[in-house]
Amino acid sequence: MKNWFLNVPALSSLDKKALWQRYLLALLAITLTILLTLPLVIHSYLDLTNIAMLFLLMEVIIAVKLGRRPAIMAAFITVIVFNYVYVPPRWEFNLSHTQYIITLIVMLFVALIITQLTEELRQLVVLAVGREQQALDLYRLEQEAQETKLQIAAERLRNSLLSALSHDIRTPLTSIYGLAESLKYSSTHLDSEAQQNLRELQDQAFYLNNMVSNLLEMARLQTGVIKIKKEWQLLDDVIGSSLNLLKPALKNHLIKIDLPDDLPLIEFDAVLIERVLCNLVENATKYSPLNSILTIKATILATDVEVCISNEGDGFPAEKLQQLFELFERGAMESSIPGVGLGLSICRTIIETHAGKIYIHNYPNGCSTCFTLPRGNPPSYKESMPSLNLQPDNTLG
Amino acid sequence: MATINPSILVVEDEPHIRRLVGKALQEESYLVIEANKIQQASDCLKNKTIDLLVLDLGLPDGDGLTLIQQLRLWSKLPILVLSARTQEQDKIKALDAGADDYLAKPFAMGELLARVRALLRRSHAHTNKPTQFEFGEVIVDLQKMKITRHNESIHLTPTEFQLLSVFLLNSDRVLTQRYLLRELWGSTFVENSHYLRIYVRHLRQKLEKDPSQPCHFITETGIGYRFQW
Repeated sequence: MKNWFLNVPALSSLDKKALWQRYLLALLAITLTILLTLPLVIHSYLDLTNIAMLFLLMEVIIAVKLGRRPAIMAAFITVIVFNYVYVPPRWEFNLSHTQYIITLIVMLFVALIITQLTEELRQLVVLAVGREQQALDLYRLEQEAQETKLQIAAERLRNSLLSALSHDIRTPLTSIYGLAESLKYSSTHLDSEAQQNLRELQDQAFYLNNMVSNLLEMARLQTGVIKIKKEWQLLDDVIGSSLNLLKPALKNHLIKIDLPDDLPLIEFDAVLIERVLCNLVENATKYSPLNSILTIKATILATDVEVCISNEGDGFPAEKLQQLFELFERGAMESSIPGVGLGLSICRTIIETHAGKIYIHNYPNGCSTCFTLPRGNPPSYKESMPSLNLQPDNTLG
Repeated sequence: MATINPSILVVEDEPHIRRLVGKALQEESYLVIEANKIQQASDCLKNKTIDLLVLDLGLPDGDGLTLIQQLRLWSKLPILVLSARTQEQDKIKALDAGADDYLAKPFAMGELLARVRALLRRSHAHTNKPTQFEFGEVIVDLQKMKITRHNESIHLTPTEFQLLSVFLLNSDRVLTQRYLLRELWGSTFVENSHYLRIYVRHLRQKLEKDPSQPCHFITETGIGYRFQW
């Protein structure tokens, strides 16, 4: 609150100056007035009344500009100087005229009244400025509150929109999937082509569901609705659950898992990394021949852990590889490559939020998609693991 | 199994899915009662004998979660949640409220039937309180604290044994991380979920045929674990 005082421009000249500076300025003003008026008196251009008027003007200016105490001092000095210099006989004190006491009193009164008025004015200004500031602050607070409210509302809207979208897309998908399945089991006689069609129908529904998951996850990540939930995880755990989710897509491939025995705990969001693994494994199956081997391999590097998903086959064609990396560059969602583009670009988003890298290696007879995750400082679980005293009687109840 | 066919209440507002689920369950000769609203469902639960509840979470007159909470005040009826929601937090909420298992949409009908069978078997077995279990190549005697695999004795540490017994006594249910941590170490270690992961890995290494692709100790990513036979 105090600083408003200094911010009032009209008063700043007064408040910034120290008291001694103001006394000095008052003295300067008196000297200046004397120097200006003395020649006029000596040559009798002005009579004493007008000289007194000039001094009064000076007094008013001092009172306004320099404040009460310099003005009082100026009043005293003026009366003494006036008596000594101007009132005949000049250059000596004339104490016989009591009327100069009245001059002094008038001067003092003028000084006091003027400074009082100035002071009141100043306080009014301070008050007004303060109120203005308060009003501004209130306005700003109100605006901020409004913005936060809007943000929360927008976030809630986004969240419920995505949930609704998820619900609305998945419900018909569930029907399609279930209807195809019921047809497969209930119908008494289906020729092989019809059976193949039903299988295709189910597979496509499954892929579509995966694509919807990717889209929603991407939307959540990009709108900031998702908060990353990093925990110290075991890679084998997430690989196992990803393969479990992909079971229908993996029926025509052999899976080889190659993990080092001393693989440390890695800090990541298991749900998101599961999505990455699902996407990469699914891609690897799409671009490799039936009954080929698909390898998931982890390697411990200096500061990271590298996970590679490799397949056998022709690998990504060179121009397609280029296309994929272009997509990576753009980081765009409006991919023209169905499935793969979206899948890879969400993988990239997820891995980058984990401070890792993702890249593709093309080999003559296959292809690897690899990502890295920082090793960080995993908790040394062997030492800190809480032990447990098992009492057979109460554990089995 | 009981001589009378178990009755199953299917609460789902989407008519296609309700009909499909109902038909599939009827073909397995369960008695099926259908409801499309929470109100209708809670009337059925109060007035009829129900052995299992299949519940969709998003219903027109409210959240299925509230129905679970209300039901758990007076009943241990097995609850299988069907959910089109993707966010793990919703599933955890439903499980913490007392649901036994969940199935994300879209699901395979075969999977639904398997889960239903498992939950019914579980609630039936609950009255018998068995202490001997068999899964894969493993035989467990909880009372004698003896575990054999291929007729060879397997050594488990006390914590591993405790975790195994929690899994066996809660088989076919999804157990949240928080629940398991609390069961094993009390509320002190609820934040240190990696302990749990390491012990589950130990159990897999000792008891699973292929620890990297487990068949019994199943991870529900972001939620917890499930033991299945």
